[in-house]
Formats: sequence, structure tokens, C-alpha cells
Amino acid sequence: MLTIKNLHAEIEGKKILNGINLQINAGEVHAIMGPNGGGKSTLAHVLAGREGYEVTEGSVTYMGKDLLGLSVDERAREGIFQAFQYPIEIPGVSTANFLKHTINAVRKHQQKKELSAKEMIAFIKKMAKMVEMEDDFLSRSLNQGFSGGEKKRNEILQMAVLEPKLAVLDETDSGLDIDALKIVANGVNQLRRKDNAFIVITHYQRLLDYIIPDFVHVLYNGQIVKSGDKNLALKLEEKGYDWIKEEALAII
Amino acid sequence: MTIPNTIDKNDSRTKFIELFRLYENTLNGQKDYVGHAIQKSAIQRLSDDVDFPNRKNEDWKYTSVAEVLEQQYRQPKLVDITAADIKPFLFEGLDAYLLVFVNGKYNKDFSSKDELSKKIKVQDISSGLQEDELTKTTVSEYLSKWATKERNPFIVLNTAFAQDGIFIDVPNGVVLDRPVHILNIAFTKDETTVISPQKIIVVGENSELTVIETYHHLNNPQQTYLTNTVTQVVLKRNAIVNHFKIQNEGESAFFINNTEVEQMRDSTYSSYVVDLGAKLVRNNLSSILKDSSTNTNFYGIYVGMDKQHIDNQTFVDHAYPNCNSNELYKGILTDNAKGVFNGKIMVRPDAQQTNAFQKNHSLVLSKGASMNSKPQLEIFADDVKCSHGATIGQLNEDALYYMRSRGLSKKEAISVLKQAFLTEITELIKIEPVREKVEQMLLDKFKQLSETTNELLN
Repeated sequence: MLTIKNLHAEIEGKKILNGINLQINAGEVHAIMGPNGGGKSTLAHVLAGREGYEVTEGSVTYMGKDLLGLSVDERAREGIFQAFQYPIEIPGVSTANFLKHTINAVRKHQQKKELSAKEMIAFIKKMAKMVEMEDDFLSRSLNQGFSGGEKKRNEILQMAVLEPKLAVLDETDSGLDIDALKIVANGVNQLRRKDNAFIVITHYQRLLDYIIPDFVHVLYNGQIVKSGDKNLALKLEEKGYDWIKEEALAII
Repeated sequence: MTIPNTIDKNDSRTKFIELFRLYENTLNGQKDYVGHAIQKSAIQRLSDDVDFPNRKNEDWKYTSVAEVLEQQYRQPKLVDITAADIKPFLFEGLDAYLLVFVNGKYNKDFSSKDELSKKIKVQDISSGLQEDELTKTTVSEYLSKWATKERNPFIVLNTAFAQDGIFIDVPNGVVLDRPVHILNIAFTKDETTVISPQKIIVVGENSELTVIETYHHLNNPQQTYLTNTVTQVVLKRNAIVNHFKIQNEGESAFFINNTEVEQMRDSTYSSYVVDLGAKLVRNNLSSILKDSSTNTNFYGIYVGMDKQHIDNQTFVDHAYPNCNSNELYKGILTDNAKGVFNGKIMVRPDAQQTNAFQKNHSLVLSKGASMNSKPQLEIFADDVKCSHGATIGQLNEDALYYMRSRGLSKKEAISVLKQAFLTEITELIKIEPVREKVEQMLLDKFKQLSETTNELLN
């Protein structure tokens, strides 16, 4: 589904990613962990298409296409979804209206059946229920006045209704209490299918108690310095990142 | 009437005086009726008493009417329209009393005056002035005042050239069951005309009325014409009026709307102004508070593109205690469009415990566009709460990115954000079919914007 080869990227002349290689297949969940400043969020932004990040080397192939040649909205319509670490508040746009706009845009592009107004509402409400969002959230302005947990649940709701092929969750667990974390994880688990894949970026292992990854990668100094299964996450939780840093330095 | 022959032929006043002569010649037997005498005194005022403004005039600093005045106008002709013509201008799903004016002339075929007359007094001015006592007394009182005392030259001009208007009088204690939709259509074919509608609306004690004025056109978009409309609204004690003015005139039109409101004790007047069309727009909106405990709400939306110039002048005159006024105007300008907002609030010495709030926010989305926003609070009482604020900004890039990351194209995202910016006002429109129509008109306008403009965000 996604092949990242020797990806180098920088922002404002500062090198952040220094040659990332990663293969993600349909049906897999990849966790990306690592100390702050290692390039986790940058990787998420580069995959989503955020402006300001310059790819200086390497390639990203998604479903056989050159991902880096697509704009952010084209990527979204092609089935890539980024759950943001800090979802923005947009006053004046109701959550329900926003969801309708995006669902229409994405479904139309993917040549899926258009939903009638009634089907649309039923679909949105069903998904909102899954992330335990009350209906009155839907009529409120997008994220405006939402708590941290509500914003993150709203991200998962958007992911649910857009049915992406590849979802990138950028520290979705940050700032969440354990109940909110469970709701978010439960949402992700319900959306896991054979034909989609997830990249779960997290600083802490605890999210991975609920979203069980197939692979765990450690990103440090803009490179994946270690990969393993879920046990790697447990080891990181126990021992911290220092041993990884030391190992990485030893290699250099 | 003495009309000087020596002044410059190009002088706009000379042209209007000449136009009035032509107009008089078409009147035949009607020269003697009360309305005509008033019109004669109005043109007399225009010839020797009131001046059209120039940029040196403080209230006209940012708006030049030179182009408006340099035209050679004609009085509009009577034109037939069809049901199909007016259908696009109606509010789908709105059960309203309809009053239709074509070129400022009342059209009885499409108006539901007879039905409305069962509930309230409603009379077209040209026939009412001759036939009906109440119309004659009330209407001629206002017309005379406009002709002889009014300082606003465009009201005097309107009085001189008005061919018709509507008089609405809601008796005491009547809450009208449906809104009154006054549909104004400009259909001037290929003539540069001056359209001068008049509305006099009196709402009795404990009564409630919703009036929706809309201004549309069936003209070729390139056709120049002037709509110069005058509306007087009087709210008696404890009356409630919701007043919409939704304007979508042709792109070469000039639109001048003069609305004067008088409020008695405990009354509530709410104005919702939406300006989308016309090349030059000037709204003069004022409310004179003539007793205590009144509420006044002025809301406005403006969207300008190309070389549109949209000027909102508001004035609230607080002269008695315990009155509230609240203003919120928001607009979006692109290309070389210019916006002007001048919000004047007077709080006179007796007007203690006044609450007067005013806000004006604009999105200016291209280098050529500009906005001049000027709050003007003059406060002579000490126990008052007054505030004002004006901002000029651009679309939020983070919000734009967020929406695009969910699959909306840049164009769609911009359109949604523009609409969101105006939601603070559109959501105040509680009549759903009206709100939906306004939202649709906004979307249609945004579509034009993104097709024709090269905005800052590209």
C-alpha cells in the first residue's frame, strides 16, 4: 500500500528526516515511537502533504502512485487521513455540515454511491455513536469549545466517516485520560479491516495496550533505528529511549 | 417654480431638473394631486437648497457619487413581467404576503394586497394618496417632510421622482401571521433609469411585523441604473419589527438605500442587511430612539468583488434612558472591491443606562481590495456601557489546511470558510427559507469570486 524509500525532508532548511525506509501493507497497523524531536510528526505531515515541508530526497509510493506529487486534498480524496495532534477550531462551520462536505468530496472522487440526505445523517450518527459523541456535538461549530478528548474523538469520527485506506494518527493519545483513550482506541479497532492500514504515532506505550500493532518502529534523528513487534513497545516503556540512542550512536 | 438657466449644463442638478420637466409633461391630468405638489417642492429644494455630497463631506469621505450623478437618467417605463420572471426571486417554502414593485411601480397582479388587507392596512401610495384618508394624512406628512426638511439629497431626489410606493399600517395589537415580502425588480431594458421606491411602515402598539425587502433585476448586467429607495419605519410602544433588506442588483447598478426608523418606548427593531449586487452601494440606516427601553439591532453582510463599492452608514441616536443598541456588520472583499463602514452612535446626556455595542469585521482577500471602518461614538452621558471594535483580516490558513486534509479542494475550503465567517450573522436569521436563500445567494456569489479572482491565497 505504502512504500517509503530513503525519505529525506527538511523544514526551513533544517533537516528532520534523514532517510526513512518503510513498507506498509493493507491490513497492518504500524506504531511509530521515539523521543521528541525524532521526526515522528514531520513524517505524518510529509505523508499528509502539509506545505512547508520540503522533501529533498527519496520517494513515497502509495497505491502505485507517487504520493509526493499530490496536493493535500488530493491525498485525502485518494484515501489518506491524518488525525491531528492539535485539531484546529473552526467557528461558523458546524461539525455535521463539515462532515457532509468532506464525505461528499471524498465519496465523489472515489466513485462511491452518493448518500441521500437521510442516509448521510444516519451514517454520521452511527459513527458518532461509535466514538460516544452525543448528537448535539454535531450541531456545534467544528471543535469550538471542545475539550481535548472531544477533539480527538472528533478526529476519529472524521476518520470513520471518510473510510480512509491509510490513516496516520499523530499522537492522538496525547492529553487523553484513560477513558477517552479507550474510546479512541475502540474506534480505531472497529475500523481495522483487511483493506486498510494505520500508522499510529505515539510517544507512550499505553495506547498500544488498546491498539495492538503488528509492527513497532523507533524513529530517532530522522531515521528508523529499530523495528520489532509489540514487545518492542513494552521494552521501550520499561527502559526508556536512552538505550536506543546509545545503540544508534554506536552504529554511527 | 423658478429654475435658474445659467448653471452649467453638466451639473447633475440641472439634469435632474430637466428630467423632472420631462416627467411632468407625461403626467397629464395628475399634476394637481397632493403627491405632485410635494414632488414639485422636492425638485425645488434640489435646485436651490440641498447639495449632492462630495468627498469633502465627512460622511462621504470614502464614497464618491460622481459616477452616480453624471448619468443622464430617465424615469422608468411601466413594464410587464410574468410569473416565471419573479419565481427565482421568491423564498422557496416561505408563506409570505407578497408585494411586487417593478421599476418602483406597484404591480397588483402579483401582489397579495387584498389578502393582506384583511389583517392590516396596506395601500400603494399612488392610488392611496388620491383615494384613502389615512394614507393621505400619514403618507403626505412624511413625503412633505422629505421634500421640505430632509437634508439627505438622495431622499429629496427620491421624493421628487417616486412614482409609487407602499404604505403599511399595522393596527395596535396585531401580530401579523406571515412575513411581508416586498419584491423590488429593476427591469429597465436598455434605458438608464432612476428607480425611486418609497415605503412607509407604521407598526402599532404591541404589534409585530416582519418585512423582507428584496432588490433584484431582470436587466442586462451591463445596464446602468440607479435604485434610490426610501423607507420610513415607525414602531409604536412595544412594537417589534424584523426588517430584511436583501440586495442583488445588476453589476452596473447604483443602489442607494435610505432607511429611517423611529422607535417608541419598549419597541424592538432588528435590521438585517445583505448586499451582494450593484457596482456602488450606499446604505444610510438610522434609528432615532424617541423614548426609553428600546432595543435596536443592526446586522449586515456585504460581499464585494471586481470594483464593487459597498458603503454602510449607520446611526443610532440614544436620547432616552435604558435603551440597547447592538450592531454587527461582517463582509468579504476581493479584487478591487472597497468596503466602508461608518457606525455613528450618539448617546445624549439624558440617555443614562444606555448599552450600545458595535462590531465590524471584514475579510480583505486581495491586495487591491480595501476596507475603511470607522466607529464614531459620541457619548454625553456617564452611566453607560458602550463598546466598538473593528477588525480586518484574511482567511485562516490553518483552517484551510485542515479542511483540505479532509478532502475539500482549496476552492471548496475557501468557500466554506467564507460562509463560516458570515455564519455569525446568517444564523441570526430565524426564518429558515430566508436564511437558506441568503446562504445560497452567498454561495453563488462565492462561486463567482473564486472563478474570477486571483486571491492572496493561491
